[in-house]
Amino acid sequence: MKPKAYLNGKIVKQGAPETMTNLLVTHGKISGLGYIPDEDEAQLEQVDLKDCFLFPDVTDLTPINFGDPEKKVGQTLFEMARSGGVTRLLAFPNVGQGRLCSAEDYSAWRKVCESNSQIRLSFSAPAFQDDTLLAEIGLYAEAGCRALIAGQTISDSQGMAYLLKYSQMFDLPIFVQAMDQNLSGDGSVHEGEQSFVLGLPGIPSAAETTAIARDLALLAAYGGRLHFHQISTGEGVQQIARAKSDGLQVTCSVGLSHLFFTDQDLGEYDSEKKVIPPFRTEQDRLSLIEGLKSGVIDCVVSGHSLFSNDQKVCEFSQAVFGISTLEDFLPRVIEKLHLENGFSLAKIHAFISVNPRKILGESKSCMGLGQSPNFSVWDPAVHSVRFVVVDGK
Amino acid sequence: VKSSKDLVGLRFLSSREISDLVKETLSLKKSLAQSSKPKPSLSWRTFVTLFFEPSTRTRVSFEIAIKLMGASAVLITKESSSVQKGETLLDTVLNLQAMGVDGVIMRHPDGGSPAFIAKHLKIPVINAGDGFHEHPTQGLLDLVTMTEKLGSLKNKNVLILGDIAHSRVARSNIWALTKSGANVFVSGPLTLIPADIQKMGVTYVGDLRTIVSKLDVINVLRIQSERQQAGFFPSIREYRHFFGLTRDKLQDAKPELLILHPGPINRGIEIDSEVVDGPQTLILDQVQNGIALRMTVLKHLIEDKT
Repeated sequence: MKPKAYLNGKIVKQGAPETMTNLLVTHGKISGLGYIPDEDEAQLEQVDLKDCFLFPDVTDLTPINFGDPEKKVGQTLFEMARSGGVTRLLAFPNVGQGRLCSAEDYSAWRKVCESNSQIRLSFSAPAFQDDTLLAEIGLYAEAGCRALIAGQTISDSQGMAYLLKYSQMFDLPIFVQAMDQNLSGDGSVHEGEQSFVLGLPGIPSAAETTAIARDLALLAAYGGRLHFHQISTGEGVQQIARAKSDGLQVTCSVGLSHLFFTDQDLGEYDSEKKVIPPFRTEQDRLSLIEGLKSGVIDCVVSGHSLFSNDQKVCEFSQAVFGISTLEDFLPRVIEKLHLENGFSLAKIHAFISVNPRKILGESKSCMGLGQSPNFSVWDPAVHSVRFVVVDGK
Repeated sequence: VKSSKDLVGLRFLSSREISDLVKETLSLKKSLAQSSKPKPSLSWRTFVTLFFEPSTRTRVSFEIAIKLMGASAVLITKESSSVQKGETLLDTVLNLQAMGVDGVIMRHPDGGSPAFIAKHLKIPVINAGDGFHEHPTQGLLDLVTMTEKLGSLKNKNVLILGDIAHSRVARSNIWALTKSGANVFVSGPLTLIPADIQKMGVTYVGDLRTIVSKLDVINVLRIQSERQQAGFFPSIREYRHFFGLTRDKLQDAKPELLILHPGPINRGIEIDSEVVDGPQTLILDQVQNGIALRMTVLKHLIEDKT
C-alpha cells in the first residue's frame, strides 16, 4: 500500500490559527508533517485538500447504547458517525434496571465493540446497578471505562453522595442528565405557553435547575467530577457558571439540536422534535449559545439516540424521545456556531474534540509524528464532510 | 486514667497515661506468665458487665480479667435487663449502684451512652465499645501488641484499613497511635472515610500498595456486609479487590510488617486466609494481651483509688 499524502489541508487546532499542513501517512502512521519532498511524489497516493479543514479526533460525548454485551454492534451507527465527521463515540453497554453488567461481561463487550468498530471508541458504564446501589465502578475502571453514566438525576441524595465520593477513587466523571423526575413527571415538552396551547404535559425548567442545584451542593460537599449531559436552560448555564467560578470540578454539554430549536418549533405536534430535555424558549436557546461563548458550556454533543421510524411516526404522546443528529453533526455545528454566530473553528474544535476528550481523560493528540491520525475533512465549498480518516485509514 | 474515675475514651487520656498503661500491661503480662496464680487484689468486688450488643471476645476478656483479680462479674444483656420492660437506662444503672456494685463495664450500640451514665454514677464506668465512638480497651490492647513487638511507636507507620467511618476501633486506635507519636494512615472506600479525617492527624491513602513498603503495622478492620447493602460500596467482590488484604498487595511489604485485626474476621473478604495464618499476624496476641490490659485498667480505676 502506497503512503498517502494529504496535501494543502488546514489543520484546526486549539489556540492557534489553522495552518496549511501536508500530512504523510505510511502504514497508518504519520510519517511526515509539513513539507513533503518532490522526489517522493510519484510513490505517493496524493489527496488534494485545498481549502479544506482537518478536524482532529471529533468526539461525541453522547453515551450511545451499543447493544447487548454479547451481540455485535450494528454498522449503521458507524456509517452515520463517519458521515457526520465524528471519529470517536462514547459507547455504553445495554444494561438497564435489573440487568447487571459484570466487570467480566463489560471487558468482553468492550473487546467486541473495538474489534467491530470503524471509528474510535471510548467506553462508559452505568454508575448504579439499580436505582441507588453503586455499580462495580472500580472494576469497570480497570476494564477501561472512562465515564460513569448516572442517567437522569436520582432522587436519593445519599446515593448520589456515595457515587461522588466513591468515583473519586478512580477519577471518573459522572454524567448526569439534570432532571428532577418528580417535577418532570410524564411531561413531554417544555412547560410554558406552548405546552398549554398544545395541551401537552410540560417539563418545567425547574426540573433541570433544582436537579443541578442539588447535585452542585453535593459536589461542593463531597468532591468528585460531575458532567451535566445536555443542559437546556439559561438558568442552568448560570448555575454552572457560578459553580465553575467557585472552583468545582463540573463540566457540561449542550445538545446540537438545542442550539437550533425552541418549543415554538414543535408546530403541530412534530414528534421529530420530541426530545429530552425538551426544547425550551428562545431566551434559553440564546443563553446556551452565550454559555458556549463564555466557556461555561464545554461541549456540543449530538444527543443522538437510536430509534426506528415507527417509534416516531405516531401520536405525539406515544412517540419516543430523541432526535437523529449524528449523520450531519459537524456541518451543523459549523453552520450554527461558525457561520451564524462567528465562533472560530478552533473554538468549535474545543467543543467537539479537545474538551470532550479531556473529560474522558483521552487528551493525547493523535496528529503527531508516529501517531495514528484521526481526523475529519470539512469542505466549506460544499459544506459537508468529505471523508474521515480513522487510525490512519 | 488517674485524672478520671472512668475510661470512656482514649481521647481524654494523656500520652503519659497511655504509655504508663502499656508499660504496666507488658510487665503484668510477664508476671502472669511466671506465676499461675495472680494476686487477688479485687477480692469481694463485684462488677456488672452491661452489654446491649452481642460480644464474645470483649465480654469474656473482661470477665476473665475480673475473675483473675478475685472479683466477680454479673452479666446483664439488653434482653435480661429492665430496660426491656421500659425502665430507662439511667434508672437501671442507678439501681445497680444502689446494690453496691463496684463498677460498670458497658457495651452499647449508640455512641455517648457510657459517657452519659458515667456522668450520673459515682462508681467507675468502663466503655467496652459504644456505637462508632470508641472502644478504648481495644485501642489500648492494640497499642500494647504493637509496642511489645516494636518497642517505641514513635515515627512508626501504621495503616488502619477498612470501614473507618463506622469503627470505634479505628477511632480509639487513632487516638492511641497519634498520642504515641506514630504516623497514622487510613485506607478504605471514600464512602467509608469520615469527612475531615485529616484533622485527626491522619493521612488518607487510596491505594495501600503506594505506601506498603514503608509500613510497620496494618490494622485491618472488619467489614460488615450491611455496609454493602446500605450502598457504601458496590459489592464484596469489588471491596476485596481494592481493599481486601491479600498477599498480592503485600508484595512490597517489609518482612517484619505486623498485621492486626480486632476480630471477628471475615476470611476472604477484608483479609485473606493466607495472610491471617501468616507468621506476621498478631490476632491471637491481641486477644491474649486483652486480659492483661483489662486487668491493668481495673487496677487503675478501682484498686489504686481505694
